[in-house]
Amino acid sequence: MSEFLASVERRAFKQCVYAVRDEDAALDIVQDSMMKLAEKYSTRPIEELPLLFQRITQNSIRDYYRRSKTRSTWISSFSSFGKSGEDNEDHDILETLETENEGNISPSPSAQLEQSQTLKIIEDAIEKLPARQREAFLLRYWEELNVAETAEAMGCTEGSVKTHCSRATDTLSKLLLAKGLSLESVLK
Amino acid sequence: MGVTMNEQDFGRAIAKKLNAGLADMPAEQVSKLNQSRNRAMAAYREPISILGLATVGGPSANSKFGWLVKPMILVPAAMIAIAIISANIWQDELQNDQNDGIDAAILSQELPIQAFLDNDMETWIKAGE
Repeated sequence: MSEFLASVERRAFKQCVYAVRDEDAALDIVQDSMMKLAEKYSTRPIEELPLLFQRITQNSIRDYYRRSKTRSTWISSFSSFGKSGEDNEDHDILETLETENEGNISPSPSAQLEQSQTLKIIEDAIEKLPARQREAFLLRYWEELNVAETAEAMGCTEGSVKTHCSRATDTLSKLLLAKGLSLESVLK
Repeated sequence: MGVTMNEQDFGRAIAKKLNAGLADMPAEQVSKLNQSRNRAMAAYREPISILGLATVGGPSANSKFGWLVKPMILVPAAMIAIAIISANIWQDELQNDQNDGIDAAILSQELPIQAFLDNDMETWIKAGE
């Protein structure tokens, strides 16, 4: 179990960072997922752990979205009781979150500037993908799950996985090209 | 551009880049992840197998309750073995008691009249003769 967790924890953490754009929240999600796997699924065979862990992690990310949505609904409700003539009329909780999160992400310590720049562009593009597209693309190609496993982890049909992956590839390549990153440099 | 890629090539190329980035993860994040893993492992219960059946997790052999693991397997196994042996002995004794009772009743001619009306009893007596 420990070896398995060690082998997946970094990828899981990055997946969560791409999804929630907050390193502390991402770390909490990864820790919760590890705890759930260790506590509830200790009797499962080792070959079932990757899919189980992905399912738990994706559910935890969705729970985080739900909690954030509920929280922002409450904040909006309370702010409507506030003073109406103030600057916070146009306040958007997502804008605040984004600003806060930008300061929360540590800079890459990579010595190779070009590589780190390329990686940064790719990571930014992945963050910009719609949630389901990003989920499908990362599970399928980063976690190397097959279509059926990805569908099980995402709780959708295999057809949806294929559609999400196809759209994610299309969107990603366009985003990378827009940032001046050619397909040659992705292949390098 | 001059390069065409299908979805799978593109996906793998992106995954390769992302994997390369994992190696450069800041030490602070790596340390936090290690701590998270250790916390999860503290809650981990290694599955206990009794008589080849996987059961719910019990204390790990490496945990502070590791000394419990062996008795938790051996004691139930010994109890099951003792129960099976006791049941066999009890059944044999019961059968012997019944046979002794019938023999004694025949010898003392205290067998109830219904016994002689029973077809099986008659066959058994004739077989004995």
